[in-house]
Amino acid sequence: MDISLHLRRPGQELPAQSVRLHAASLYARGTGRDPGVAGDLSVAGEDPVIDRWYIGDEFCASRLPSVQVAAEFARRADVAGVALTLLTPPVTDDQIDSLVPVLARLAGASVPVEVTVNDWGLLFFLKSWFPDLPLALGRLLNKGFKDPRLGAPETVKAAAEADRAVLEHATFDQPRFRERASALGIARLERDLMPYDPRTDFGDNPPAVSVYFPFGYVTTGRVCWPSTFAPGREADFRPRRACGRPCEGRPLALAHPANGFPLRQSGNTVFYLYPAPVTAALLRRAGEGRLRLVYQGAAL
Amino acid sequence: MLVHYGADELYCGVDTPEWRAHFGNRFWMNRRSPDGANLVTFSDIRTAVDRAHAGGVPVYLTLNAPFYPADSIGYVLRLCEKLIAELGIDGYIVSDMNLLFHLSEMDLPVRLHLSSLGSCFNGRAVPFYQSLGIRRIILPRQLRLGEIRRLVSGAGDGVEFEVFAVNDGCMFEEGFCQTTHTLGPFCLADWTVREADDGPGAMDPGSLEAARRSLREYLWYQNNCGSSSTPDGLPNGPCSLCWFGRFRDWGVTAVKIVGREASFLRKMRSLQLVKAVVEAVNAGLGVGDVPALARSLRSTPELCDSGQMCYFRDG
Repeated sequence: MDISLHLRRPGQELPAQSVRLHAASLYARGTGRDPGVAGDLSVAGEDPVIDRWYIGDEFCASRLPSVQVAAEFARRADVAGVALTLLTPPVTDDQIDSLVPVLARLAGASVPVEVTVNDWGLLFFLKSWFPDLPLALGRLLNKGFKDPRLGAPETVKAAAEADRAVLEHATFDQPRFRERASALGIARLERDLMPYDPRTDFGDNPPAVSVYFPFGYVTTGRVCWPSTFAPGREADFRPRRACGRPCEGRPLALAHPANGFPLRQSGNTVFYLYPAPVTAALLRRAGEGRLRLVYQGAAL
Repeated sequence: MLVHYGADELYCGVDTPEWRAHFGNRFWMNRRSPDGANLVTFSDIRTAVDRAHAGGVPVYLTLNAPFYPADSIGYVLRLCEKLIAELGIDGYIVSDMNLLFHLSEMDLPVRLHLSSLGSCFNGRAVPFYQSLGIRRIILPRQLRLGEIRRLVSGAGDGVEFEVFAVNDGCMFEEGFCQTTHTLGPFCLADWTVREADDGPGAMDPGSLEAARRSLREYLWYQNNCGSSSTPDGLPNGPCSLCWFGRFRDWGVTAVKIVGREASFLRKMRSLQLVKAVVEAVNAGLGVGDVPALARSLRSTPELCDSGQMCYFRDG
């Protein structure tokens, strides 16, 4: 079973055999509803092999690596024998300009490099200026129902057919979308799990599929509450030109009686934690070799 | 009323009996509640369109749900054709890329606008949207002024741009918010917040609580200053009036008054407020003089001075 690791900084790499334990700790720490089920993670399939690192960020341009950091990742990836994926967020024109040196450095790396885009404009920029970089669409482009306030998943299992169509919808599942994505040269569709859709099988038709775990995202934006934690930035809710990243290593736990899932805010984005059995099912599915899993427990 | 007070365009939503029968109130056909923010009968739509057209005003229909379930796409597409053929709708405002792919293949004789929920943050995406038949892009809320300038100024001919003028801010980027308003605004829920990892670098409870108070204050402004108005009925809330001179000079085509669910009075006063600034700008008011006009019309210096009510601030 191959697993990709999302890393925030060089040196953060986890040994492959530690991924399962690290994921289990997220549940055992009291962030999960069924900490006792965390044990499922330790028996779900074989131990993974780390074959790829994800670097960068899907949600915040301030979390993108500098050229120097990207170069260090590329060097370490070469030593470790892993490939790289650069995650990119929605970006403005200025932010595309700033990304060019990073892209150029990674395009010249000695390891295979892919780019995941969450922005149609960046997609077409890359197709023009870095046509040799394989491209994936990220989960911000995969729309579906992710509001965690319907309650625990088991409470909506008996939902009516019309409601199930809503709860189980994902843009990336739609045939017309997939045709267009393939026609655009998209090699991969990267997604998380919709909170009220129990499926972990996304078929074998191209484009290929990656699934992020153990968190799905709920909402995000360029206005970032944690950025206001920095001294001098209090109550400053404008989108940032630059940010000192006071969010680093400081996730927040959000709670509300209507919540069906443990919620975590990392930087500008709110995430929900998959139920442990779902994560375990994903790990077993990955063991069948039919989808790529991206572990983000250390990054978020 | 809206045409009478000078609206140049109208947009509306619809909640059809067929949609309601299938989805109830659990999944809306667009981002606003069927109760009060949408037209319900085809007769209502026809009346609105006929009266608008009599005043030379086009009517666009918003189909800006973040996604349309697979079992509803066929219905939505048939509805699009019906509304054009039978009721004279002038165009659609869409955000779901799957829906847009379908519509682009139908070659409908109407305009297609990209909703702000399409989250167009850069000019590199514009040709792609043009290739899908998009004639106008409604820019998202969370852009800075300089970013709008670069995007609009660099886009060239062939596509128009629209920006938010007044009302209805949003904590998150609505195009990437996967929550539903059917359960109330996610951002306004009263969350309990704590640091997830209680290490030595954790914020002290007092500082976290102070940050939460700041957030609540910001959300108050975004929520139309607690849904308030001035004593003479002008709407308080997010606003870009001060930037209208710049929008004019950069080539922005339209400014949007948000709030289909708002009361008759709020809509009317919003329109009067925006129209007053638009007319002055179109008459040549200098860029530097527009903020003074906007602030004088609002007469809420304490709200304006906070900066929390401004759309598109540079930072």
